[in-house]
Amino acid sequence: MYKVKRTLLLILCMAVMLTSLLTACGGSENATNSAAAISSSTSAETSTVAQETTLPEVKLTWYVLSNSQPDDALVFAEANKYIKDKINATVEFYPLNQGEYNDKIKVKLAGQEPIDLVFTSSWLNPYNDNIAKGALLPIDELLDQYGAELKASIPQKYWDMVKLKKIGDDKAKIYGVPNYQIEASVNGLAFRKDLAEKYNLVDAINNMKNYDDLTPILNTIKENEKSVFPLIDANLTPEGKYDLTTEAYKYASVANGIAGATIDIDTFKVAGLDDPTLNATELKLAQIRRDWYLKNYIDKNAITGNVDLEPYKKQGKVFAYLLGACKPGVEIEEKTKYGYDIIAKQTRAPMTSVGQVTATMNAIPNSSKNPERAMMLLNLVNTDKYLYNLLNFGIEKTHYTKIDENTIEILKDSKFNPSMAWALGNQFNAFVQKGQPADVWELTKKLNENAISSPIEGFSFNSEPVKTEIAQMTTTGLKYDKIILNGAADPVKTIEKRNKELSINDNWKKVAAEVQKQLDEWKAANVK
Amino acid sequence: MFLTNSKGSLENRRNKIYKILINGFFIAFAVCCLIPMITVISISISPEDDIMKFGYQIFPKHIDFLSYKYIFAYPKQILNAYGVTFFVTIGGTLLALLINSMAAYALSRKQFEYRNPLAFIVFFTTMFSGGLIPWYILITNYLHLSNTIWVMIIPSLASPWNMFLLRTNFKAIPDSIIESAKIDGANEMYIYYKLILPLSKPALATIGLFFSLGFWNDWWLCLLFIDKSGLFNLQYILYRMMANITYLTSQMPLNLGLVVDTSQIPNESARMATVILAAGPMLFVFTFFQKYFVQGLTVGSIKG
Repeated sequence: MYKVKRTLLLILCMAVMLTSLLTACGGSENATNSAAAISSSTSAETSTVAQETTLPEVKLTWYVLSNSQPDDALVFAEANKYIKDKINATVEFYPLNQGEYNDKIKVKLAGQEPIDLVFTSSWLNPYNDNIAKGALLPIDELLDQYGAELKASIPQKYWDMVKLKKIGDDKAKIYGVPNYQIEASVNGLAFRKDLAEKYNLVDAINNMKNYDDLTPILNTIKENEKSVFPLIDANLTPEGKYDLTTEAYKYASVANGIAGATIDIDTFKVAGLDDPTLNATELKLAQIRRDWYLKNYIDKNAITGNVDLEPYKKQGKVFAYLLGACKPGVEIEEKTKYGYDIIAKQTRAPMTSVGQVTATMNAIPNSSKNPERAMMLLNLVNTDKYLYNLLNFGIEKTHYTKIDENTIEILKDSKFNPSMAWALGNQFNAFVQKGQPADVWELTKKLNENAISSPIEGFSFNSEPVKTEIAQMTTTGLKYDKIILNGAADPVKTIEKRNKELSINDNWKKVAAEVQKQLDEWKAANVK
Repeated sequence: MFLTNSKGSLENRRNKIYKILINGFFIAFAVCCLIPMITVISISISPEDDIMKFGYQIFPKHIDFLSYKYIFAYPKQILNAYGVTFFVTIGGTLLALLINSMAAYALSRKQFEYRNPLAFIVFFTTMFSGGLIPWYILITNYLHLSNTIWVMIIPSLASPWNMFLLRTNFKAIPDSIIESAKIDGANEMYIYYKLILPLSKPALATIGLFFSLGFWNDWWLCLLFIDKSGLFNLQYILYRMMANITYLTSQMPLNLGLVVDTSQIPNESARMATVILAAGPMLFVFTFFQKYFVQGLTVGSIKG
């Protein structure tokens, strides 16, 4: 009896001790932290007394979209020294990667935790949803007051593109600062340079006007290089264009290429399955691909499943492939990755869209206790080359070496190389890395300037009224698209069969009518 | 004489065939279980190029510890994470067993008048929950547990499912044992500690294993509530590391204008190395618990 009591008492005692021990640990850590903060703040204050006497010291929290690095603490401490001098704030950086960002930030914003800066975008921690929920602060006034430099550094047209009208508001406001970089999407094709030179194909590639011009090029490779596939994936024009030139394309799809949701942007009319131009182009492309398939330009083993192109590229087993972003410097980037020189050829005019501009932004949450300071920090990070590069590449000589004023080489065993420059701020402030063209940012800026935006930009199709039709048509698409895109069966018959299936219950016509109706309404309201 | 003799040898032969068949079957079965494990180990020590060229191999063609070097490049972080995970697993399992078994014991006793309403309240939480965000707000804003080690333990301490499992187990213990102990002067604590717990060792071991697996494998709580890198647990660190590698070796950095040399970054092999680091210690724990599983099967038969 006595023994039991004693043992129980012992367990209890241990539990209590353990608890107090751990809380003590946590407590002391906090204490040392704040002590450190105080001591560093006093030293900084003395140094900047003359400059920023009016700014009281604050602590900011920034959940950075980044990949955490071994030397995070070192770099963030260095950054804090600098930020302290400039705006008398200490910033707690919490790097989060793309996989965890949504989960973590969603609850933090909902829980009204005092956060000062977050990443938001069209695809991660969604900008629109956050605004609808009221999670982000409108920053128009803050920008004018504390971010004039930042505002001037980004062309006005991009500020207009990130403006959004919240329900209940009378006008659209800015809720986030786009991380200024390439703001246009450009499609293109890549060709292995060594092979192209070996068979004198460089001119042919550069002078290519359309899909048919590709065939003789691919044929040369097929006949002479036994170990290289001319293509792995025959779908070299995702938007279904026959011309391989940089002219603007006449058609735009508003619902993932579903039949009946393609719009002729010159006339604002839906181009359906009965549109002669569209049909002729599709058939022409399908016949070319069929031809390639029959001539074994494609690895037939690869088209059955979802092809992973990476191993083919790494082993140099493919001659031509689609480039998702055919932008300045892409040749060198592809070479770093796969070890082959390539010839890159643009196949579409550069296009700007809201989705592109809002693809990476930083914003101030509503729960921020110091929005003014957060704006100052945003201003600093976007306009100050030193700070931006410090947060990107780390400390000079520890993490990278300078080759000249603007070019750096990252050290081989760098303990700080998150490679997330695009999520942090104005990328045109970044150092050029060894291997990139020295004028890469000027070229990119020029590309941005030349980019066109679609006349139907801003129109978004609400598929709710026709969702059954779309679901049925998507199933049909899954069944036939892969076959047509790779030329695995007779194109005339397959397209005919597919179109018949898409026409069941007048499915595509219903979708087309709905798209046209919404487009007309949108046009009446938005296009003058 | 002749007859019995031949019958005996026939039986012997038959036994032999059965033995061979049964042993053969289990050997084949064991091999089937082992192959994936061996493959994982093999991939983790294969160079990335070999995986690209030859696919997954049961035995590596070349041995290369790049992936382990990559993961252990900064051992302090990993060791610290192991420490956090061990503490959370051991401490969490013991606390969870204590709390759930105490609750289960109280609810299993017929003398406890409000056991049914209480059991219903516990049961109710399995059907409805407050939702993620209220739960998050409760833990961060009211209990102030975020960024403490306790946040990885306390939210998963009370588990209705395991509690009911234990209660059912305790109920199976005859009342007469408890009564006789009472006659001998034992109080409730003594009965719980000296009789019920030892009699339910197999059940406790089973549930302890569930709990320890849960605590060991958890990274979700760490993701939600921990910002300070010193408190990251093993699974979370490995998860971040893998996310990092996947990002660097994907097309994405290229499309966004960054130059990354990926030739020195292990991808597939690192994935398998993290599997080994994450699962390895648990394998030993399982063998330790196994003896209780076997005991659990035989306990009933001995008592008849």
